[in-house]
Amino acid sequence: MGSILPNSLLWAYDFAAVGAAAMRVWDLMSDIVITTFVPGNGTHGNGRGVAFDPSDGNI
Amino acid sequence: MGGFGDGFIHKNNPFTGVEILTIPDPGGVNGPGIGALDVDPDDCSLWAAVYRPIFNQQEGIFVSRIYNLNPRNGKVIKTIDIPFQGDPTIDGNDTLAIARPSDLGGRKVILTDAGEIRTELFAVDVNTGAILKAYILPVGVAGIDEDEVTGDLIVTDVFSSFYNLGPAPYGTIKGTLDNLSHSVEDISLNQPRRCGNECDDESSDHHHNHHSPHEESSDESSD
Repeated sequence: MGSILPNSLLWAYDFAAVGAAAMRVWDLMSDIVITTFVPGNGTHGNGRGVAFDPSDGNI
Repeated sequence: MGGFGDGFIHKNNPFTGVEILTIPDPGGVNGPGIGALDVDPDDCSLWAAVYRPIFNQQEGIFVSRIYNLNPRNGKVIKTIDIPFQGDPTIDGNDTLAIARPSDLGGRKVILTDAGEIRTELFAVDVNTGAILKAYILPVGVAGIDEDEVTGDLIVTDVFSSFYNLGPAPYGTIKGTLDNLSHSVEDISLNQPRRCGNECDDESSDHHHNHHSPHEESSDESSD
């Protein structure tokens, strides 16, 4: 299966209502999750909404 | 109407989650919360979709509220209300992206479904709040982002997959990626840098006005 968007990273927020909440970062070239974390050193696991900020590369 | 908002929007390291900056959510603590975010690639201002719908007493309808915010301090630059879609007692808006659909001549719009896992996606003028067009998607969405380079729309259907719906009118599935059975609300792609210090200027805060598709003022107070 080919990539849905080569050369891109995708941040996706697993929400708390179902399962364990966490942010997952996907490499869309290889279609794998490259890292998983709960934002704010584990304190913000119930979040909705994520945006990449091109001015500094943070989310 | 309360949601689950902690009253803040947090900036984090993209790979570790370490917190870098916190700005206020205009809806406050345990307010209607934020359901989706995107950064305007032209000026790096922040757009935020309020998660829970807000009742507009003047019009007698529930609306989905969208804020344009200064990303440095959270000051509200602009507020746009559009009619909420779906059941206002249980649903929320988790879908927002700033885009320039090719079939609208590259005009900058907010794309949102104004609801939860819906197949109708609205293009909303960023200046007037007018709904310019409604796209019919092949899947219900709970998070979207536009790839600036290709114009492709990447979406999540929450429970099973990410999809590439191609450029506007986003009616065809170009590709599918299994999300490994995670339940996803809102997504974001990395984007090339085109903006930087615009929002350091306090003058960017003075456009605090309200718009609706009917060009009527909305009540700032929620609940």
